[in-house]
Amino acid sequence: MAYGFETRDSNGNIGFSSEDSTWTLLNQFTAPAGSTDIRVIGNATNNRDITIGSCTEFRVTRHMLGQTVGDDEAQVHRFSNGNVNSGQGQLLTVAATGSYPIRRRIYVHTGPSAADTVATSFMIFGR
Amino acid sequence: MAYGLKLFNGDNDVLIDSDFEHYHFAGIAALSGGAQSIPPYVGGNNTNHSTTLGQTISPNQVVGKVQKHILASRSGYGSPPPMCFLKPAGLSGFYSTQNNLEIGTHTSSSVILTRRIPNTSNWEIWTLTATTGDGVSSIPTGGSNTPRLYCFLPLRFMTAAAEATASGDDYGLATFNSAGVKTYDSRKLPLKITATIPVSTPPARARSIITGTNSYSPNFTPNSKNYHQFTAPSDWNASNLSQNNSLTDLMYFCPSVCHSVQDTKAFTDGEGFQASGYNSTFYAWARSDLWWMFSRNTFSIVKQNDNSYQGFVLKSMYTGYGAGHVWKSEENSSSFLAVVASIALSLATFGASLVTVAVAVTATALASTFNNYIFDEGNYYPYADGNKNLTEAGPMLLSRPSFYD
Repeated sequence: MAYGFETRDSNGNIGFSSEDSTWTLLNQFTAPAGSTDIRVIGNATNNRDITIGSCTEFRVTRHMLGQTVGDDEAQVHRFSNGNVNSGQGQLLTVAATGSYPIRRRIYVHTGPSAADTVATSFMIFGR
Repeated sequence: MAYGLKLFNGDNDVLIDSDFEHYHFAGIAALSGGAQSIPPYVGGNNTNHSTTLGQTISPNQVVGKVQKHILASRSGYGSPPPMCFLKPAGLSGFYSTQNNLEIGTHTSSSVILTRRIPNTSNWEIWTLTATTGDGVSSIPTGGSNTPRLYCFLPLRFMTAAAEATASGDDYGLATFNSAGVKTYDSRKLPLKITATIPVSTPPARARSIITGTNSYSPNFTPNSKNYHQFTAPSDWNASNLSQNNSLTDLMYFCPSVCHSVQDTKAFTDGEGFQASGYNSTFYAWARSDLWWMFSRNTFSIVKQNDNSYQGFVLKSMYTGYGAGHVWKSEENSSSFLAVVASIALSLATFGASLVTVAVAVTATALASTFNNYIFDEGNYYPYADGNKNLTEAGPMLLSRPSFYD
């Protein structure tokens, strides 16, 4: 490494290196089960938006929560990255332009059946 | 950020940002009980009128094994759900594009359930695992097929013991956000994601139903799958590509969201005249049967080393979770056939009510064979033949367990 940053433990083992191609968790949000409202990932302190900083790539994972037995008629929440009330996928396409702080919203929608939509944990990663 | 710290690598990727609560290693979730397969769910009100339709499901129909894991979080803090990276039990399989052939066996696993245990700060996570080879599932053989879950949480949601630094571990880097919350600590093994892979769910249909007349035993064990070739992270040992050994230093985060039910039904009826002198009667009977399997999306990573591609392949497939056969038989010597048939048919119209009949028959036996697992009988047969969340695939995040061992 010519330039960069490393952390090591007391035995000299590398704990973290700026050479790692890693992803940073930008936000985590749990959409409640059975909700019918469109929800926005974020929090009140940043106007319900995600601070994306200088990240130019993003990934969104979804994780169903609270199923009682693992076999119910579970629909996962869908999401979109704009004002369009539709869509799903795994990529969050955000143009990282503009002056700091750069923020973006993710809209969370219910699945095909709101009554059968379980709680869904959204995690947004960027780099 | 008015104040704080950001670190970037040479590709301008963000590595550390003091505004974000980075996830750190919270420990390997504790296994709770042994791996178990849900027993076949077979039952009905009686065994009448089954001369042409057997009362079993195919002995070749298999489901995977469920393993329960427990992770403690900080009491009273209401932790977010942990990120649980799954280290599969074995990765010795190969894939060849020639005839879509899989060689050897490997485990296909995923996290299928995550919930907070009521009135506690513990999280309960279930994994579903099957051993596969050449695309056909078989029941895992035992404890060696149990996956391990490497779990991550923000620092303030870990248990005090998990958050504490080791004695003498006094050097490092920590960041704090504007509220004074510690968001990163180099001493506590921050999560490192080495790569992401796009994933798609398997095709909607699973195995073609095998039908018969004298021995009706449908086999739903799913065999639909998708393959995704991907470039291995640069730090993976390239020698693994050319050797028939297990790739053990791999774990992934890709919770299962897609699930599938495949079922088939049968209906038979008849009527006649029972001669018995002055007590002669007309009679009618009807019987409905329902066979089904419920499957969840699971994943495995195999190696491919042929002329077309040399690298790794992510396989997205289904693994059987539960299966069963339930039936309802009605007979009446004083009603017309149409009435009797309607009684039986109404219970086959869809599953929940028919399964409720079976629950009364089998719940006791089931509870004794599927110990330590919460089992809500009324939800066992979740919906009619079809898929849920078929278009809702997510990315798979990769990391290495050796970072945390």
